[in-house]
Amino acid sequence: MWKTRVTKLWQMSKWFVGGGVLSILFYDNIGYVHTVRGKSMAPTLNPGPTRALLRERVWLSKLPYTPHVGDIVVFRSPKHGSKLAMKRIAAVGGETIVPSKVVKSGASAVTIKPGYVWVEADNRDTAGRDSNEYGQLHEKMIVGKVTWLLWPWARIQDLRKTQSPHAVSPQTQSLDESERTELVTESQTS
Amino acid sequence: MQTAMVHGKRVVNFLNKKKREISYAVIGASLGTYFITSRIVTTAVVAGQSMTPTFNKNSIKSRVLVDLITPVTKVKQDDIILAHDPEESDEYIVKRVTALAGQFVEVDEDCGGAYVRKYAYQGKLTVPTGYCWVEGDNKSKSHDSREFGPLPLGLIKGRVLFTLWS
Repeated sequence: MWKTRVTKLWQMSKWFVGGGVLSILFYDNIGYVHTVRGKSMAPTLNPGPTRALLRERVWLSKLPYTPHVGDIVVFRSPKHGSKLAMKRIAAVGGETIVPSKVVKSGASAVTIKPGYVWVEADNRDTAGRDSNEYGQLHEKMIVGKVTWLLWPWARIQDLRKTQSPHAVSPQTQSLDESERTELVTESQTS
Repeated sequence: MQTAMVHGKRVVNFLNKKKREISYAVIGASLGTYFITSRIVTTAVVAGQSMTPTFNKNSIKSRVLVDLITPVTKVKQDDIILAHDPEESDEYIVKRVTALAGQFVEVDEDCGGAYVRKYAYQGKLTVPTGYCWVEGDNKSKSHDSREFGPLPLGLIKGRVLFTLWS
C-alpha cells in the first residue's frame, strides 16, 4: 500500500525536486542577483535607503573566473568567515602595489603572492574593510564577479567597464615597477 | 505488407522512446551527482603523511567522506577539515582544527614553524576572528598553521566525516 503512495508522492514532487536542483546548480555555476550592502563601493555602488526594495542589486557571475585588476568581486570576508564582502581588485598575484592607506597598513609597497589578490574599496572615506586592513586575499575566497548593476533600473550599467575612482592612469602600465610606484606615491601626495 | 510497415514503425517509435528515456536518465543522474558532490557530500583522497595515524596509516592512501553542508561557523575544535591550501591556490589540505577564533594556541617557539617563530609571544598566539588554527596529527611531518599561520574560515570546504576505506 505504502509503495503506491510513495510512487504517487514521487510523481507529484519530482518536478519540484528537479526544479530545485536545477535552480541551485544555476545559482552555483551561472550566477544570481546579489544585494549591495554598505557604502564601501560608493559612488559606483550605493546602498541607498535601507528599505529593502530600494537597495541596489547586481548580477554576480559564477562562471569560471580569473582575477583581473579593476574587477569588482564578492568574496568571503577574512574577518567573518560566513559573511560576504564586495570590493574592487587593485592588484593580482605577482604584481606590486602601494596600498592606498599606507599609514594604516604600514607597508610602502606590497608584492602580491601568487594565488592572492589585493582588494580596495572605491570609497576611501569609509572605514572600509579591505586589504589595507586585512592584507592579501586568497583567490579561493572569491565567490564571483560583479558584472551588471540591475536595480534600480534608472542606473542599469555594465560595471565591468568601470574603474576605481582612484585608478592609476593607463600610461603608467608600460613602466617598470620602480617607476610605477614612484608615480603612484606622487599622485597621492599631490 | 501494410501491417509489416505499421509494425516496423511501432518498433522504431518504441526504440526512439527508450533512447530518449535513457538520455533523460543519464542527464538527470549526471546533474544529480554533480549537485550532490558540489553541495552535499564528496569524497577525497588524503595524500601525504601529515595526518597519520588518523589517515594514511601504513602509507595506504585513505579515501574519506567530506560533509559540505555544515556551515563554516559550526566548525568545532578537533574537527578534521578539508580546505583550500593557503599556499598553493589549486591544492587542498586535510588538517585538524586545534583552536578556534578567540582562543589561545600554546606553542613551543623552538619547535614551531616559521609563523610561530615570528609571531608567538611568551609561547602563546591568539587566533583572530574569522580564522582557525589547524595542525596535522603527525606533528613532525605536517606543514600547517605553525608554518603558514591561521587559516581563514572562508577557505574551508567541509568537514571530514569518516574514512570510507584505507
